[in-house]
Amino acid sequence: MKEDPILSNLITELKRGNLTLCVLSQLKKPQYGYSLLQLLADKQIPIEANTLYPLLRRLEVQELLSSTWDTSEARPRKFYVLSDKGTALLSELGKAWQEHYQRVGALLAEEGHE
Amino acid sequence: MSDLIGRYVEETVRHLSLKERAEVAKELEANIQDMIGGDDSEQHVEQVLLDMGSPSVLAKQYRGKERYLIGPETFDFYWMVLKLVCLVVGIVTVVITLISLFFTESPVGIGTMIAKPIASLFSALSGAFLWVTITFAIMDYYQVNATLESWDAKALHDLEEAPTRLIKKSDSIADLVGLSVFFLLLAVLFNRPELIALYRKDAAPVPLFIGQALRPYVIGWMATVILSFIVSALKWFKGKWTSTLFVLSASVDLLGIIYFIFVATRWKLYNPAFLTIFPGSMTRWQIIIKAASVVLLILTLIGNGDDAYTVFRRTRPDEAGPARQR
Repeated sequence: MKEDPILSNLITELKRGNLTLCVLSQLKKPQYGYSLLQLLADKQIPIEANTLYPLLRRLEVQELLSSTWDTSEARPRKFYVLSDKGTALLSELGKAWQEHYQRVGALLAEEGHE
Repeated sequence: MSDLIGRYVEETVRHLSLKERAEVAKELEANIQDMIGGDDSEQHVEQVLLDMGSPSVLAKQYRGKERYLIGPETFDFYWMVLKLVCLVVGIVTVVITLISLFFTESPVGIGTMIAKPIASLFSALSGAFLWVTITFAIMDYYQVNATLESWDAKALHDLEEAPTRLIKKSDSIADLVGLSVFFLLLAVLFNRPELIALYRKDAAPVPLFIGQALRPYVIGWMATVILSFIVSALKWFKGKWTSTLFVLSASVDLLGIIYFIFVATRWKLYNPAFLTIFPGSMTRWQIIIKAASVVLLILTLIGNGDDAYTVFRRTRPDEAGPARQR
């Protein structure tokens, strides 16, 4: 059966809204681009490389992440970690998400009873 | 195979600002190398780069925002200004071109009379479009905030104005266009009064007017059209009836029709040769003109009455205060 394009669009949009939150949540410990990509994929949050890398860069520009280049390995890697600003923001954003998630859940449960 | 990666990275950062390029390139290349891992066969590298998507799309992600000449926030304002500027520039150009055509030494043919205003209109409008667009593009580039209007309590209450008192933009524009065309016809009439004539197969055309006598009247007529034009432009600009605007509008309408009747009843302007052919005699022609004058006057009064009804009907309750009645 062919996938409904409207549905898949909406699902993509739904996930995209939470992307920043997912990324920030995984950066309490330093990660580089590809390791974060794999980490998220392992936790059932697959994200496209061409979305993640630019997102990391933008979050750095917004000073939510700080970065360091690790040149000790054969290949240089840029490690990102939450800045103080990012940590504070993550906690607020997480709270907001929880609240919203509960409200949406309540709405859906309500419909289920009918 | 690193050449392929290098070219991909280069193509991506080319779309970014200068200060970002080196950093993004270095990082992107490292990430791609990580994704490729140990298997650096051409096939695998190709696959990884294909999965990354096109460089221009990736670059857009890095920029984090779309690039516009005129952004969506400014577009409405841009469009409004563009229309207004084009209208004003267009009108002024046509009027000036026509006026300059009248005062040329040599007689001007009907072809030039039509072609020249169109040509200058085209070049003026192109210029207006160019400069308005460039101005807005620069404003957009430097993120100058030019939103159409603020949204506050005052703006909300302005919305509540009786909708019947609004003047439709399309009506005003139709008026402006109609008046321009009429002005153009008057210009032709001034220049070549003999063109309004009875054309017959086997004889010379018989003009309706005695040209030399008609000319001064046409100039006066054009003046009334210019006045109407100014008032119509004002109506377009305000978009809403006010008492003053109504008085102005009614005055120019009446002035126009009275002037028309005044000119039409100057019997000396007509060519007797024409009248003997068409209505038969001067007396019959006078009856036709007088009847037409009465009909036109009545139509004008009806139009003004309609406007007056629109303007004054809703005015009183609106001024009653905050407790508006709808």
